[in-house]
Amino acid sequence: MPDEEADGRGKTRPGPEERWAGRAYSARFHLLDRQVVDGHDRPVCKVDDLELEPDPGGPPRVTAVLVGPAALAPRLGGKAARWLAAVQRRLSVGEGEGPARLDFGRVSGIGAVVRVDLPEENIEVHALEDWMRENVVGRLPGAGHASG
Amino acid sequence: MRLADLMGALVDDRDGQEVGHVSDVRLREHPAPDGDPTGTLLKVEGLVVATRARGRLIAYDHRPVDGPWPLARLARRAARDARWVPWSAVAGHEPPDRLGEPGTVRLTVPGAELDLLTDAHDAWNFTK
Repeated sequence: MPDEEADGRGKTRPGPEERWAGRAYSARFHLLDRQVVDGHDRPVCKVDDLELEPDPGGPPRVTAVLVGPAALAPRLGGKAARWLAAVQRRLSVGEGEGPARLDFGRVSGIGAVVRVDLPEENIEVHALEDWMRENVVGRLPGAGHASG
Repeated sequence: MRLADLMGALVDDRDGQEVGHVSDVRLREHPAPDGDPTGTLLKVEGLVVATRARGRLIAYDHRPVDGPWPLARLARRAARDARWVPWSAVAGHEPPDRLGEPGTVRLTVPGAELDLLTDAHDAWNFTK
């Protein structure tokens, strides 16, 4: 739920997910670790971190949702952060690959879930997960018989 | 810069005195410039700073708690020492030397001039 909502008396109240100028959020409570879903309520990923673009004339602007182990590692702190970052580097399928990012302009709603408008052909954001499915899980005996 | 650079960062005031650490980051939607198809832009409004070592403010820092009264009392008690730092009071941010360590946020004001979070909560009740 948003922490501030417009006075609805005599006016149409914005929906619980609607992004409207003036609405405020707690990063920890409303955004981090929230489930991201597409327009058909299909889970896409979770909000592991946010990318901020510094603005010399004002506060930083959120430009992307960052996803995956490379995004999550700095939030863990201490040895766990370094361990996860090292594992992510070892398993990374690209050279110097940073975290997957979802442009924040695609975020259409923030509420119990973070809703994004994604093209149908661009639903995958986890390169590591995709690689594991195609090269490891898909080759396990019986993988082709999995239900669902 | 990432949000993770700010969350948990140590906060030093104008004189280099440590105030606490960033417990939460508050963000607000702003109208997008004309012609921008995104509608609104989400920007950082300020930082919630916990002044105690274990101060994560038990999730009561994201908004004022009005009731029921035991929860409201617990919330005010949990947040009684926390400070509110508007982004205009942030001079800069230094990333950590090593992954997993906290970065540092430097302020433009003395720590004593920072508003209490509970006072900021009262102001948030009147903002849209």
